[in-house]
Amino acid sequence: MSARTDAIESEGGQFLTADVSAEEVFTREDLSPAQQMFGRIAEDFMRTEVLPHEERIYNKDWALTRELLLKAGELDLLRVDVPEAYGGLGLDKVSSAYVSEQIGVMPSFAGSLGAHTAIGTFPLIYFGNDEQKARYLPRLASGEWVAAYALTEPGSGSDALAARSRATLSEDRKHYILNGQKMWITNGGFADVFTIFAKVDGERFTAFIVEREMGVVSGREEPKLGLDGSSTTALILENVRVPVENVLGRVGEGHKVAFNILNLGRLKLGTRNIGSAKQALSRAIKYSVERHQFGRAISEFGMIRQKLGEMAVRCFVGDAMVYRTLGDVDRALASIPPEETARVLKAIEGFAVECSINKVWTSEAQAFVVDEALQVYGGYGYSKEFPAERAYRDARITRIYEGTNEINRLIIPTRLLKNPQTAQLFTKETARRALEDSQDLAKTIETHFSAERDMLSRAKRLVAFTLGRARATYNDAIANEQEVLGHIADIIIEVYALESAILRTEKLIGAKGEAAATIPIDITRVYASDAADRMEHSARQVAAALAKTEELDHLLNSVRRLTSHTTYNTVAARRRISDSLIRAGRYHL
Amino acid sequence: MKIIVFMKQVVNKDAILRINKEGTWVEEGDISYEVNESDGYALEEALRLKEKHGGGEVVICSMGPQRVKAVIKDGLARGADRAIHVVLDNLNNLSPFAAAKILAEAVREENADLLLTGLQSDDQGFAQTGVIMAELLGLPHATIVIEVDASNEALRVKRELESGWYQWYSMPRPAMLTIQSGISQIRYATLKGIMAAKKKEIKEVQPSSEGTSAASFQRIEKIYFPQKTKQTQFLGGGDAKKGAAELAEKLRAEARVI
Repeated sequence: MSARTDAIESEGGQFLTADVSAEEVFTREDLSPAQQMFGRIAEDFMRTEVLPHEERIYNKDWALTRELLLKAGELDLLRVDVPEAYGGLGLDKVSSAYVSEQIGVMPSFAGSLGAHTAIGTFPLIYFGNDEQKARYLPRLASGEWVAAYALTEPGSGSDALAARSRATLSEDRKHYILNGQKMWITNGGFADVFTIFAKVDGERFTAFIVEREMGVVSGREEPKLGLDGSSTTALILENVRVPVENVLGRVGEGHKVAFNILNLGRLKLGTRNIGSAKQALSRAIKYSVERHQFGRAISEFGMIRQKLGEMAVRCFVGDAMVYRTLGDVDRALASIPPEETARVLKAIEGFAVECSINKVWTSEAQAFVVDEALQVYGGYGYSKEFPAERAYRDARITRIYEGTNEINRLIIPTRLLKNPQTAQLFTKETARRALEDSQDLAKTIETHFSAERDMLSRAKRLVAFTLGRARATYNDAIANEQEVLGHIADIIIEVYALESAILRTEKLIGAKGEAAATIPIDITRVYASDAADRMEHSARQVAAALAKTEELDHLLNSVRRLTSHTTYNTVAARRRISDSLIRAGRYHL
Repeated sequence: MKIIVFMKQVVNKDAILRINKEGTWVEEGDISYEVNESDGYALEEALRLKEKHGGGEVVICSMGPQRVKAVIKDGLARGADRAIHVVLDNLNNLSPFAAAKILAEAVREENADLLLTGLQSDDQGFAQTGVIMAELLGLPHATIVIEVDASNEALRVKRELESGWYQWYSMPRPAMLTIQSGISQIRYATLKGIMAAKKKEIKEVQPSSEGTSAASFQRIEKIYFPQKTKQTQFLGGGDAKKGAAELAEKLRAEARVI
C-alpha cells in the first residue's frame, strides 16, 4: 500500500499514459456506511430545514441564512474539513465532497455554505499559524462566525496578481493599513472574517485575515443573473487596520495562498455541480411523468426520453470523474500527517490537472442538464413559478467562478508540459510515435468494454500526438496559441471522462454483476460513442492548425485512425436509460 | 434506567413499489429503506428520558437482514448507547406473535426498566408486536402513548383516545409502551455522533429456535395493489321514477353520501 501511496503523490496527470484498472479507483459506490450517513445528515438538513425556506432565502433574508449556517454548525456540517485540534472533524476529502453534493440541491445556500467552509475557512486551515487557527477555526467550525474570501478586484479577475489593493505598515509597525476595493465577494454582506489579498507597499502580494470590526465595509448587494439567494457584494477597504499578527502565511507569498485555495476549491466543486444537476434531472423526470399532452405523459415521447437519457449520462459520468479524483487525493493524503500542511497542499497540487478537468466538465454538464431540464418543462420552464428557471440561472456562474473555464482549459495542457513528470511525454518524438505505435494498451486488462478501452488507448495517443506536436511547432510561444490549447484540453478532458466512466462501470460489474449494471453499461457506451466524435472534431482542428499544407491529409488520416469507432445505437440505449429513470421516478444511480 | 427501544426498518415512504414475481412481497432490489416512523419517536422519547433522569442506558433492538444495520447505526449516531441486532433474513412472513416471541427472547436477559417501540409498523401495520411482547415478558403495557412521566416510582403515561380525548394511566415498572408518531421534535444525528457510533457495540444474535418455529405458523399467500374498477349500472329499467328511487337508495346505502 505504501508504495502505491508514494507513487500516487506525484501521479497527477499520469492517467494519460498509465493503464488504470477498476480496482485502483474510488467510485461513488465505494462510499463507506459512515460517509453515507454524513451525506444523509446533510440531505435531511437541506430537505427539512433549508428547502422549505427557499423563497425567504432567495429574498435575501440573510438573518435566516446565518441562522441556518448556525444550525448546520450544530450538526457538524461546517466542521468537516477543520482539523480535530481546532474543533473540527478533519475528515477525508471524499466525505467533505459528498456532504457538499447534498448541499448542492439549493445552489444559493450551497454558495453561502461553500464559500464559508471552503474558500473562507481553507486559508486558515492551510496557512494559519497556531494562534490564528486557535482564534478563528473553532468559531468558524460552529457557524458563530461566517467567513469569506476576497481576491478579485474591479480591475483584476483572472489576473489575480494584478491586484491594486495596498497594505502599508503603520509607523508603530503594529498594523497594516489596507486600502482598496474587492469585488464579487460571496457572503460579503454578512461575513465576519475575510481573507483579503493586498500588496504590501504596492508590490508584495500578501494575504491577511481581516475581521469586519477592523473596518471592512460592504458595498450594496450585486444584482446578479442567478444565485439571488447568496450574498455577493463589493468590499470597500478604507484605512482598515489589520494587526501584523494577522498576516496569513508570509508577506509576499499571497500567491501561494490564492492559487492553492482555488485548487482546493475546485476539488470539491465538482460534486456540488453534479449534485445540482441531479436535482434538476430528478425534477424534470417527475414533471415529464405528470405532464400530459396528446393524451400521453410527455415522458413517453422519444425526444423527451432522449433528453432524460443524456442528462443521466452526464450525471453518471460526472460522478465517476469527481469521486475518482477525490479518492486519488485521499489516497495521496493518507500517508501525510494533516498538520504538515505544506506537504498536503503539494500533494493536492499534484492533481491540479484533474481538478481543472473536473471543474470544466462538471460545470458544462450542469449547464447542459439545467438547460434540457428547462426544455422538458416547456413553457412552464420559462416561468418563475416553476423550479427549472431558477436552476438554469443559478448554474451559469459555475463556468465563470473558481477560475473561468477558459483559464482552467489553459491550465490543463500547460501544466502537463510544465510538470517534469509528464513533460517528457509530449515531444516531437512521442508525437511521431503516437501515430505509428500500434501497441494496444488495453489488452492487459480484463474488461467488459474492449472496444471502448481500445478507443480510450488510442485517444491517449491522440493526446500525445496533438500536445507533442503543438509543443514542437510552437515551442515557448505555445502559451499564445490558446485556441489550439483549448482543443487539446477538450481531448484530454474527454479522455479522463471516458476512462472514469469505464472504470466506474467496470467496478460496478465486478461488485454486483453485469445484470445489476445494465444501465451504467449503456451510459458508458453512449458516452464513449459521442466522446469519440467530439475528440475527432477537436483533433482535426488541431491538425489543421498545425500541419503544413503537404502533410495535412496524412495527419487527418492519422486522426481518423486514432478516433475511428463503430457508432453505438445510442437512440435505443438512451431509451433504456430513460425508462429506468422513469421507473425510479428520479435519478437513481 | 435501562431503556430498550425496538426499531423496525421499513420500505421508504417515497419508494415506487413493484410486486415481486411470486406475488408475495415487494421487489426489494431497487428500493431504499428507512426507520419506521413511530419507532423513531420511541427512540427520541428514550433519549429524552435518559437525559432527564440523569443517565442510564438506551439500547436499540432491531431485527432483520444486514441492511438493518443502517437503522441501528443511525440510532447510535443520534445517541443510543449500544444495540442488539437479531439477524433474520426474511421478516415478511412473521406474524406479530412470532416477531414478538423472537424479540422478547432476545432482550429477556437485559432486565430493562422500560421497553419502548412505535405503535405500529408502516409496512404491515399490525400494531400488535409491542403488546404481545409485553405479555410474553409478563410486563404491563400501554399503547398509543404521547407523554411519559417517569419521575416517580409508578410510571404515568398519557394515551391518545378517539375524538380528541386523552387518558392518563399509571402502571408499575418495568413496562412496555408503544409510542405515537409526532409527539416531539426528533433530533438529528450529528457528524460527531456518527463517528462516536463507530465505537459503540452492536451485538448480533440469532433468533431462538422457539421463535423461528413460531415463524412457520403463518405465511403471506398473495399481495396486490388495490384494484381500481369502473362499473356502469342502468337503474329503473326505463322508469325514471323507479330509477330515481333506486339512485337515492344507492347514494344512501352504498356511497353513503346522503
